[in-house]
Amino acid sequence: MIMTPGLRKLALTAHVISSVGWLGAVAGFLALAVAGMTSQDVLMVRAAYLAMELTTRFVIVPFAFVSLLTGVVSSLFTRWGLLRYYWVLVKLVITILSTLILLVHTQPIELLAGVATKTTVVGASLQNQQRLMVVASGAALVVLLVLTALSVYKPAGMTPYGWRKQDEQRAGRAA
Amino acid sequence: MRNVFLRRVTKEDTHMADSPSHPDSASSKGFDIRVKHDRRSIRSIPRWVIVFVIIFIILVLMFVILQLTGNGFGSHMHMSTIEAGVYQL
Repeated sequence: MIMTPGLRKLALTAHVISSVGWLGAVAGFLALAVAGMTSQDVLMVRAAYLAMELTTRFVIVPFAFVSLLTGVVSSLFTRWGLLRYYWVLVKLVITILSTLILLVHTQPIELLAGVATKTTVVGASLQNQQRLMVVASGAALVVLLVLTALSVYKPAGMTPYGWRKQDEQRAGRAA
Repeated sequence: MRNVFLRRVTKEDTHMADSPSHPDSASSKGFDIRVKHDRRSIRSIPRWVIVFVIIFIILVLMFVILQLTGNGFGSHMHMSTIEAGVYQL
């Protein structure tokens, strides 16, 4: 089933907004993570980890799910299909993996925010978690940039499933 | 890039439309081989996908090695463990 042009544009607009919003929020998260790891100002460190937790819970995670959902809808109900082109398939796999990894990493973010809320001190044992936040958000930023580039360039290549579907459609038209 | 791709598909279709009238002739065999080769090259996995898969495998291997050597970030500590190790800045 193919969407009407109006619906297609609506889904695409939601997908672009959520994907770019996700990218921007992760960039902001990275800045906070670097500030939390390097700053000597206790108040700055506390504020950074509290802001990171809020950003993750209310911006990054919702945007990730909306991006995944609108991406699936946009591809399923247009001529691109979900599994017909390699660039769509690669985007789908990367987005699912990124969302899963993001959900796994909400635990250390909450731990850091919890410590920042309850105490005025930062633990030496938190250094690993602080490093994790910087590395993970930096990696996430690179991945999201790659996803954006894939969406814009749409590199060529049809999957075996895509070729089979195209052959079926051609045969159907010829008959 | 997609235009190039579409052009290649169109070219293939043109070849098929211009197929010779004598299927057993020598030129026909050469034509068939060429068409099969073109179709295989068009339908094979694109190079950029192979590069992506290789990068993905390298990243997974790096992650596994880091975990096995104890340098990974995966060891999420429990809250009480973290709070027990706090120090004054």
